[in-house]
Amino acid sequence: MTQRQLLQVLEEYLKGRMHFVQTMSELASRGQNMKMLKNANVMALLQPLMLDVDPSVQQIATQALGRLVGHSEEMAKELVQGEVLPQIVNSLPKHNNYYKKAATLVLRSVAKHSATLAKAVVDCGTLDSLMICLDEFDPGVKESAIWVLCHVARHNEDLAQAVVDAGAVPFLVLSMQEPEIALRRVAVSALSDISKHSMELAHIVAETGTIAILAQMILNPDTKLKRQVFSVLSQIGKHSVDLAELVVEAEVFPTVFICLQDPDEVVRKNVAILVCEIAKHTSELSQLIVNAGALPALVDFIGENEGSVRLPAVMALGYIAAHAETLATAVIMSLGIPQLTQVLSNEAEENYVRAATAWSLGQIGGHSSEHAVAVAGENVLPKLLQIYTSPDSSDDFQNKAKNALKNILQKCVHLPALEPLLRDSPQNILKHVVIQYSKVLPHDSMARRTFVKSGALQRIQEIKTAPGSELLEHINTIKSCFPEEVVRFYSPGYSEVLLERMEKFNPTY
Amino acid sequence: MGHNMADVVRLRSRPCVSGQKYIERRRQEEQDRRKDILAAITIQTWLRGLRVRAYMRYLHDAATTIQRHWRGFFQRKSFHVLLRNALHTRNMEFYNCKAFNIQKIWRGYYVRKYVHNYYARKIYLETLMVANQITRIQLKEIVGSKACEWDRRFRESDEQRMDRLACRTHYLVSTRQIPGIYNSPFLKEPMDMERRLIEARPRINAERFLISARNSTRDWTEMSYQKPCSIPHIRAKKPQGPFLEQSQIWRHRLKPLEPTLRVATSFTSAEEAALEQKREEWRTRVIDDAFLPFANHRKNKKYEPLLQTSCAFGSIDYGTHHFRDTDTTKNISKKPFKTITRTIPLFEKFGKMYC
Repeated sequence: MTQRQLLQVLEEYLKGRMHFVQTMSELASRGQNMKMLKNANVMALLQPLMLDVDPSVQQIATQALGRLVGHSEEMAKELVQGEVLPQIVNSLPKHNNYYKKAATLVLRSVAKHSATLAKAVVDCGTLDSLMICLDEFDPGVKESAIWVLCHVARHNEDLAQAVVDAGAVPFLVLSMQEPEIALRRVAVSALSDISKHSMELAHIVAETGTIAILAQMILNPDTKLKRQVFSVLSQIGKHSVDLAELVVEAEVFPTVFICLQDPDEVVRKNVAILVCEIAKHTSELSQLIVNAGALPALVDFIGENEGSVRLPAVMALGYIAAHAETLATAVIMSLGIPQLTQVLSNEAEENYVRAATAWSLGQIGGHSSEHAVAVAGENVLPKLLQIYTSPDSSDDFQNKAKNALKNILQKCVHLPALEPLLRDSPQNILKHVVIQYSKVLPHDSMARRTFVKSGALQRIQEIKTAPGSELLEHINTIKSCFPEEVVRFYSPGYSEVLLERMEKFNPTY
Repeated sequence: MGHNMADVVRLRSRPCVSGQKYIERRRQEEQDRRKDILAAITIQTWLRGLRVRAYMRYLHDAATTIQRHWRGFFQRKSFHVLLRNALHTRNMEFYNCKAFNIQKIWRGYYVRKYVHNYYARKIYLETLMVANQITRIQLKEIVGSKACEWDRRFRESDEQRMDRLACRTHYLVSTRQIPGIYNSPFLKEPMDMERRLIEARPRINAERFLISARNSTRDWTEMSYQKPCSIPHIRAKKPQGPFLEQSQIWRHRLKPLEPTLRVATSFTSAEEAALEQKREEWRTRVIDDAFLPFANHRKNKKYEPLLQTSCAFGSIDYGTHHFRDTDTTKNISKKPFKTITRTIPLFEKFGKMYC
């Protein structure tokens, strides 16, 4: 056999391998092929090729495996059980950048499925190898390494803590300032995934000076980066008052409202979440946000958007109003209630958004009679009642509606608004309505007049009450505000009594 | 008996009354006796009654006096208490009224000023409304200016996407013989895509290469040591002619850089090396003292003078020439000074500090 023939054989073998791994890599990039590939046991075929003598075959085989594993969790489990991961992780620092990218793709695909798989990835000592990758100069390698960290930290607090313990946070903060936009996105996303779990983790992230850097990125033209930036800020701010204050101190506040009108929906939603998370902590923070001009921005936001994007803005209004009576007045004066009412009455809206709206309205109306009147003036009470009595609404929704009704009713002294409730509300709501009437009527003669005229007195007497109940007591209080004849005239069955008396009456000549 | 005898004597001494008269008188007496007795009883009754009543009156008077005084005293005493209480109540009412006034005014003032300042709140809300209006206008302005940019970016990205698509599907371009799908003969004029397809140029690999090169700014030394294995070998047909073997050419092309000694070393390397050698010697030396020969050991010793004698100002006499001044004439008093125990600083501070 000549040398040429030998070379030809070798070359053909190499070509064959190359062709195989490339085809597999392409096939594996489509989800619908997974079943066939699994049945063909492609994974077992690819595993030896990962140790091939030719580095490009190695790299493409690893890439194919990564894609394969990314599409199905079962294969990921199989891969973990097959003890392939330690081998990949150990060889990671020695190989070139292309291989590193492919290997991190495998790790990422395994880790993204579940916390158990992510734990398995961490247990192989992946994090230390990834730290070496983060030292690399190539932004692509860095990006894919950070992506793995991101997928690991996403699952639970322990895994996020492991990522932090490996010393990833300073690297992430450094990568966040790189010129490559993709790298920045991934780094910010990883920070978001780390800080969402607990206060300690958020604190660690905040301590590295992340917030100041993030604050500069707010007006970055890149949409995906902006999404992540607002996500991190809200994840950091949600845990405690101190962290929220740190976020506020970065002077994000008047600026972020511009992004409430961003063309991208996720950016808008994340900004609204940020406002909501900051506002929920204390009245001071709420006041600060309000002073920065949050209310018109939020109200416009609710008006301009559709669907569940509005939820955080609605919640933010509720939180702001819940803190102090002045802030609730500010919400009312910024025309927040018509918008909220519109959301509440929109049947097509998701139920949880409407529930949140009901809660917010309850928070606004529960401060004083003025607030209650402002809320009741928008005809909110019958809507809430309808939601509460409707069998279609979920338990949570009914509960929220009931609490809101209670909150508003307990402060409402605007009797025309209460009147429709008198007609068709269940016993437990009726109680609050009657209590309000019994408070107002003894002091207001005009109200008494309209009360009788509108037939409310009759309705009140028709209510069935258990003797000795609180309701009965209040009804008696109301009755005592009127002369006896009037009360008797409007009592049920009085016409029959009159007729009876007429029959018994003997005219004397 | 003695009594009767005395009566007899008394009777006999009296002038004798006639018996008749006597009898008469006795009878009369006997007749009147009953009457007399009754009269006497009446008189006695009256008298005794009078006396007892007088006595009782006296007693009552006395009791009344006592009671009057006691009651007077007692009532005065309790009245005093009552009066004091009443006065106290009235004073308290007065003071409370005044205190209420003060508290009322103060609380009103305090609450209005610090807790719930109605006017401040009103001003705050009004200002907030104005601020809200301003914010609305500003946001509208900013968003208006941004909207153009967003729109432009959106259009640009759309354009790029379409261009890429045109690159990929360039085979759909119409030719002289066959009109493409975007250039249907039924249409009045060709679709926009047709123009794109005509304009589209295939992407050159070199272009991609340039982009990737621009992205990575590598060190040139590192570049030379990069292993070539990452680039797959181009296994083209063997070229004709007496060329060198391809693997040999590759080896030559990807040979790591071997700079000359002149380039590889620093210009001042000789000086640096000498300095480094010196430092090395200093670093590795165990004893800093100069090594002296053993032969004339004694001569090696240096004379070391005492500290006192070597002083520039000479030694002090005290301790060698004299010990203590014995001239008593210079003393102020003959008594020796008494040693006084120093005060303890803690006690001095007592009551002047907080702890």
